[in-house]
Amino acid sequence: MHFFRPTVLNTSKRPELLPNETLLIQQSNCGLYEKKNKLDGYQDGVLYLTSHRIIYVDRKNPQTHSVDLHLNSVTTMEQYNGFLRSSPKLILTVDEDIWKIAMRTTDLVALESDSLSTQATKTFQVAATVGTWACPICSHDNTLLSDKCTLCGVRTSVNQKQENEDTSGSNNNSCPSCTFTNHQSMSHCEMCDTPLTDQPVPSPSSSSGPTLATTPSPINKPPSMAIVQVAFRKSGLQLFAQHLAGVLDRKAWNLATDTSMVPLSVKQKLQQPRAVGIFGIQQKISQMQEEHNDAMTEGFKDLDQLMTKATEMVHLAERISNKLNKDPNDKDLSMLRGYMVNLGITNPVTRDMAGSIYHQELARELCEFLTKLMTNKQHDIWTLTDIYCLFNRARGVALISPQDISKASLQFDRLKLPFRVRQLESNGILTIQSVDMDERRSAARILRHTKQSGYITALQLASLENWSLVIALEQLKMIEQLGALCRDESPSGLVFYENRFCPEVA
Amino acid sequence: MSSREFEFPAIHDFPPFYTRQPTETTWQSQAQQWMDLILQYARHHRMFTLSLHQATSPGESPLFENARLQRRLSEETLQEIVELMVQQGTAKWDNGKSQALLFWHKAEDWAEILLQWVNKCGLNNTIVTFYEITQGDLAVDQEFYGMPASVLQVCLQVLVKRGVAQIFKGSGDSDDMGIKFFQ
Repeated sequence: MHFFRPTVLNTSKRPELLPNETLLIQQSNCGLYEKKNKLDGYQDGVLYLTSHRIIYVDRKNPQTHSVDLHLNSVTTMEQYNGFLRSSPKLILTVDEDIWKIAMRTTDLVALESDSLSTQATKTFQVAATVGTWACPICSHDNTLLSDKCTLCGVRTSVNQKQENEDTSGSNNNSCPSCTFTNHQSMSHCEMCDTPLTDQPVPSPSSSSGPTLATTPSPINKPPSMAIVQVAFRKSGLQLFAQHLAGVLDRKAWNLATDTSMVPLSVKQKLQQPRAVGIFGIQQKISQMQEEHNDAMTEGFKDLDQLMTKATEMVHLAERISNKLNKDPNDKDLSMLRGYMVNLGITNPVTRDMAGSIYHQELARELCEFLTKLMTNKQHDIWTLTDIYCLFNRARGVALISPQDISKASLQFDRLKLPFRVRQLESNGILTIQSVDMDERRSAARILRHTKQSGYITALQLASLENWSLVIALEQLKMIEQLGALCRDESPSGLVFYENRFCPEVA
Repeated sequence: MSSREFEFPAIHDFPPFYTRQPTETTWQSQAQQWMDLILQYARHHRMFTLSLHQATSPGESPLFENARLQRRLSEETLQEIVELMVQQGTAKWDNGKSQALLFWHKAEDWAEILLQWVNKCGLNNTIVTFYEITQGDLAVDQEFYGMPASVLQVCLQVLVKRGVAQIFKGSGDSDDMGIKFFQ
């Protein structure tokens, strides 16, 4: 298996996204082929299309058989609609040269995203061995780790880097007869005028970077292509192909993070000459219509802008909370954590993205969200209504209905996710708790609270344990059933005391 | 009537004592404590009858109400408790379910006490009216002083069944009954 690389999954078996990467569509029951051969063990899984990669997560062994392919190495795409027993396929041609460079940089990126303390030295070492490229504008030497020049901010294209790799790795063109080192663009040696040959493509021997040039290769070698296929055993080819075409056009991996909007309307207004009479009125009307159209398209562009701003906000919140983490007594921290939970989800799963496996994917996303929300796994219980509100708030756009969330929560058991739905006995309210939740420890805690103050009300318990009121009351009733508490009903409310009637049970 | 104050047990100051507990085991224990308390209180104050509605009305009974805690036993709960007492044999329903007769001594025990008193006073083989037993001068210090006729009736029936006494109806008023103890 050559082109697909193993990929990282998060706790609910969905892929970890790179920064600035957005999830577009996912499709179940897909299989992978390389050239014409089926890849064993990669024939039944979910295929995710993001703005940067195609990711395959196997259904049976998600931890070991999940791979991805970066889309910057995909040059063309073809559809094959299936015939008799062969399933419809998407045929992607991969440019091997770009793929090799991409692999090196993704390795470097992966190294970067690991914990900085242990990996810092490694990244510096790798940067040193990989080589440097010179920025064409300010001629500052940058490492190959960065896309942009650190001094003047100009981006470099892949070809330029590749070129510079060639030159930096192989020390320019050395003339075969007089060994004078020429510039790589020279066709004849400067000193002795012998014709020079092109430097060969550097071989990707190890991850430590390009080595010296070994074998010469003909000038203008055609880029080597390879075929990779994705089979869609269930339907979904058309939609996937459409999205993929859009992604390949957009090439989001090359896009800047900040795109500033030039207000078009201002420009237009400056250029209109004054017109009079009926002709002028007609012109004005057509001009207004044009402006309206432009405003609408701009408005939709603004929505996309908003989404990118939203991701920036999440990063900002994370950075601030990291800074505040150094001061543990700050009560603003818990407020900020609350905001972070609210802003948590940047790539919500929607129906047109997921299709038939919508509820499964929603369940997984819900699981990720719950992992962030429940800070004390052994103790937290949340009602489904509370989760519904918080989850929708975190999603921001593309809200889900209560029916969807209840269906998704019923999938927890089937997908073996670490959360459980429980129905309260007295009023049938559904709650979600972690599988680690220990009932007996909770009961012991509640009894301790009661002993401290002599009696306890549901309201007190809710504030002590950070549960909602319904859940606190339910817990008290449950402990009463066990015989550890007894109740006192009066016009002023329901209070629970230690059970003095049956002290041996308590 | 006894002169000293009735001392309530500590459980009487426990607010949940006045709420019917939903858990079975807790309720059993609670009901038992109520039963014992009622009988003790009745014995202390020579209460033979218990009117349920009146006893659980606000401000009526210091037994079923704790003014300091502002808690009161409800009539339904008291009814349940009395029902349990009837099953145990320490009470009897009098008027449907609104009145109960309290037997802090069992009927058989009362019968024994009466018999002993009759022997002590030398009233054997004479006809003694109910009135003499319950309100007579000789019975002032006795525990059964002030016992209502219905309770006395039950106790004497025991003796009649045993065959040591016989009940006569009075000639004039129908509620003036007499009893003759043999031996």
